[in-house]
Amino acid sequence: MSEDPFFIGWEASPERQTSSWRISLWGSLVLCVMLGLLLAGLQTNPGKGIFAFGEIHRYRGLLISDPVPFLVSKESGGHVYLLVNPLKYGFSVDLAREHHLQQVSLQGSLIDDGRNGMIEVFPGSISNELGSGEVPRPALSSAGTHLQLRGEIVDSKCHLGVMNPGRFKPHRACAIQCIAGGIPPMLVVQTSNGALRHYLLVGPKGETINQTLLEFVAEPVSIRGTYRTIAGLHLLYADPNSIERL
Amino acid sequence: MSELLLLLGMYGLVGILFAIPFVLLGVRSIDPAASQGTVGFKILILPGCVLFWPWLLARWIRRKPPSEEWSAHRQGASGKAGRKGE
Amino acid sequence: MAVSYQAVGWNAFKKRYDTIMASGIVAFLVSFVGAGSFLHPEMSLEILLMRGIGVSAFLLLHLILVIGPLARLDRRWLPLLYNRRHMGVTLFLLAFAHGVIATLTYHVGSDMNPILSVFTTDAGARMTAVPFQAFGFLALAILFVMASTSHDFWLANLTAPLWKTLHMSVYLAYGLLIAHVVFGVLQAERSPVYPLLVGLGILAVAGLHLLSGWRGRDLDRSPAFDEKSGYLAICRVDSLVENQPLGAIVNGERVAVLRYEGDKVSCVSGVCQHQNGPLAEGRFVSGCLTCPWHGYQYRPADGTSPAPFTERIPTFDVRIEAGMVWVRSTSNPAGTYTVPAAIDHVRGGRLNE
Repeated sequence: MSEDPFFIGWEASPERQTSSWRISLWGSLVLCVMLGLLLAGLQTNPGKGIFAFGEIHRYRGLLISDPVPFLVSKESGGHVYLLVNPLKYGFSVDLAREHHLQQVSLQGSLIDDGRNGMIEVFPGSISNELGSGEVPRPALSSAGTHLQLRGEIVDSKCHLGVMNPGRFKPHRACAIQCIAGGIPPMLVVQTSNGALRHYLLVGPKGETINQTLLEFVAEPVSIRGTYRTIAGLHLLYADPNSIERL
Repeated sequence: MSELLLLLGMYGLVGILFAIPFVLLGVRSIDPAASQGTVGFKILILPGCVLFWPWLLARWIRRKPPSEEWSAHRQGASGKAGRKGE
Repeated sequence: MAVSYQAVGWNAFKKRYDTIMASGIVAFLVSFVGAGSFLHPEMSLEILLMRGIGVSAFLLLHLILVIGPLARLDRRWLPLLYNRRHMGVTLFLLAFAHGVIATLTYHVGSDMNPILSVFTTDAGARMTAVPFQAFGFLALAILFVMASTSHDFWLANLTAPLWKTLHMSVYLAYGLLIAHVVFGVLQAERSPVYPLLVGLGILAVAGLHLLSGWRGRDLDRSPAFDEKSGYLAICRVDSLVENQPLGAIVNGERVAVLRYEGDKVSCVSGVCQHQNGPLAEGRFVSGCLTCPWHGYQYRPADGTSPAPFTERIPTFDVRIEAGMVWVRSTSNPAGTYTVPAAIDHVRGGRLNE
């Protein structure tokens, strides 16, 4: 070996090796940019929900506490908003019962995936609103359809827009904390053409079954239950004993 | 599990309380090369002092300098340390 | 090496090194976050940042792990090794940022202590529910121990063998991070490129380590021992290349046998006092055997660093007999002067004492 490269760091004088330094610098820059583009570009579609964090608006309408707390809006043509609290907490059960079937006014931030709307209610902003133009009580579809569905249990708040992506394994712990905190659980079902359908999960009698669902969150599962709708919300009155991992 | 976290937190807290006086005063008594250490040096060793505080505290009390490294050649050397001259 | 500690012993090379590293990381993050938010405008910024920072840390860890074997296989990689600890500390800072964002995003905001939540919430035993965040947290803890002890103060105070053992835990952290990635984000992403790249990364790290170990296997054979004299036959005199040491195992550890200044042969412990670098792979430069890792220097005859430095390594008595280099199997205490053996050029080497 005629050439014996031996490098001594404290002795190296980069000024004399400008060309190799330039090559190293630009080479690593190009490589890093290409890797960044490739690895970012191949990510799975994260979902398209929005969360208007920090934008607080006033909403008026009829509050319904069962089977999940929601508001039938007065302004936007009877649009339905699920109600949740900030952070990883569901809307207070006591507060929902207190205002059940009352016309209320509340403030909060919008969460919306284009089909389902949700409001993160600003604490203490809810008040009764007496007056004209009352919203009629929406009816539950009487005859339910019995279904067996395959999908993933997520928390509705993150999935509808607070976190994109708000599904799958990396989000599992967060979904568990959210569902444990009272946020309505939701079954995400992928149809054969790739579209997603959402079913809010409640017990056979409309009771919350959040604690029972915790061990099945973010895994492929199959659930049997009765499908019903109320004010455009899709609900599965699920039998917790029917849940199976796939 | 939460008790363990509490214990770790307390270890860290004591470590922080120990580390500041140690880098200011104690470090020079266990390592002569640290006696003129710069401020940057003292900041850089802070996290490690929080981590290893019981060991460093013991050395500070005994003013024990760094020991010689353990290796087969050093341990197996014939005779006592010392130069035969140059 | 420094007589008195400072934060970083800056030199021109380290500055260039850090410039390239920092600009590479910034370029990666900008392109990752830029492309991510362009292609998926709805993606949460915190998740995009968490992923970008996490991926950059994971890539940097691979680079850190392959530098060692690469430099062993081809000396032209040695400059990358020289300032590797800055890469290590940067790796910890990136991993820490990733961990903070992930904990804030996924674990803060419920009744449970977020750290506790990392360890308990996603615990499960099935493939789809194997915990992954706990693996990441433990790896981060290891990286913290390593980053916080990266200064030479810790090397000197823990002593190199202990320091090295502590820093070998990077392989444990690597294993934990592979589990963190495989049981985590790979369970969610559908592109086959991600698992493919992770597989390639594991192959590169494992393959290069095996290859460099296999190439270096000759060095780790013990030479023949003559019980009567207590000396080991290391090699033929004419196989020594001037200024390039030869490694051999003596007394369970490597020594460096060096021919220098024409006809002198000396032998010192092949273990550098700084990070226990491989002195047998060094060179004789300006009167000293110089370590290939960080340029620590020792005079071959007394194993002592030139003033003002204070490092000392054990020396070995050497003699030349019948064209063979013999090294005494028992070392002299660190810094002991030994008379170099002299090669007799006329007769091709003979007994010299």
